[in-house]
Amino acid sequence: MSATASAALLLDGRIDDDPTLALIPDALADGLAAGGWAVDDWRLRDDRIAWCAGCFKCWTTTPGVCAHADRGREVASRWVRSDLVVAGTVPAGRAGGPEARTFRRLVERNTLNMQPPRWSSGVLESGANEWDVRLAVSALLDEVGVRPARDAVHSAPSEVVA
Amino acid sequence: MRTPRTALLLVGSPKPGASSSESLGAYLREELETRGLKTLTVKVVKALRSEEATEELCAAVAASDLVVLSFPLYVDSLPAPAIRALEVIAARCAGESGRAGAAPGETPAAAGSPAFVAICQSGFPEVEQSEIAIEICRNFAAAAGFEWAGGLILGAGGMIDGKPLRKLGGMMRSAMRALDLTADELAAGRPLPAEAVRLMAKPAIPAFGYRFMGNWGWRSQIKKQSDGVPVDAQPFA
Repeated sequence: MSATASAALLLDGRIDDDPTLALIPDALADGLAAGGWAVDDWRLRDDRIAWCAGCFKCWTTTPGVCAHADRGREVASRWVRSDLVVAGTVPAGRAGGPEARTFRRLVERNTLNMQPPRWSSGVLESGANEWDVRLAVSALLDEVGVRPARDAVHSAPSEVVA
Repeated sequence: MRTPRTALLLVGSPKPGASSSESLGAYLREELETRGLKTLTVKVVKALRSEEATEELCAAVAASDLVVLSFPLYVDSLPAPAIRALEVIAARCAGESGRAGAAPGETPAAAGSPAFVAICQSGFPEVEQSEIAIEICRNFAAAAGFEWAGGLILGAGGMIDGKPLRKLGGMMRSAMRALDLTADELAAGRPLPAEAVRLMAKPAIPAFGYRFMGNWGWRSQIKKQSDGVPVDAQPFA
């Protein structure tokens, strides 16, 4: 994170307009703006972002650039311009997963292209998330998950679980 | 778990062509057929292309006693289209058939519910990488009213490269044995045996050999295809 943080990228992975779920991203955007940050607020569901097809062309053919020519490509470039990246998502409901499909597409499309192969230790070695980040700028990343309702498993008083 | 008469294979790979996930699932499907089950294969990517195809997916799920999802690991989870398919199945198919599910961690499905099995393969040699994805599938089964029958994890799945397991022969011996055992138990209305899980997790070759071959393969591809762009290029810097 740079010493003079000023640009924040908010990746909003909400699927619907539930007003409760809007509270956190809206408050976060407003709070950062009030604090002097330039906020790049991106609601992912408004854009058509294809899922990763597993072609690995972002490694082999155009290193660092996804083969899909859609707005999913923009994440890396907007990430580079940011000092703070906040990824907001809702759980995948009854699909059982921790992240919404809107957010999964973004994660899939921007993991390999940010993470070049690491010959010394082996591409296929443990530590999938120990990114050897391709980007020149390393932004601070925070991920916020919001549950639409409390369930039997999570009895913590807060609705915010991550 | 009831004795199944029908089984549905869901291929969760986003790849348009042949995939290692399909190879694994197809082998199990064939083995289930030899044990008398009527089977059907649906690729989730195709099933999500149109409303009509999605309806066909839901109808196939509703008509199945056993659902097998075979998928590749994508960043510690399922690929986005597989997640979408599970969302659709949980919200529409399960609801329409009256199979109201429980929240993850709550009471499991009632006896006699359709069974759900997951097969996850990844390019990592370690099976631990896929454990979270299998847990996600278990949560889905509970939430959508399926009876969880277990999950299999295959590491070093890149070696399959979309080829039929039988053609790969001895290298896939443990995986095929695991799927044989799985078919035996599922066809008899029983969940996956621990021995099948163990055999599927058994490395086909030593991890260092797999890494060596993997690195060699990537280097070779990049040299041929990247037109001189270095592999650690920073195009957005």
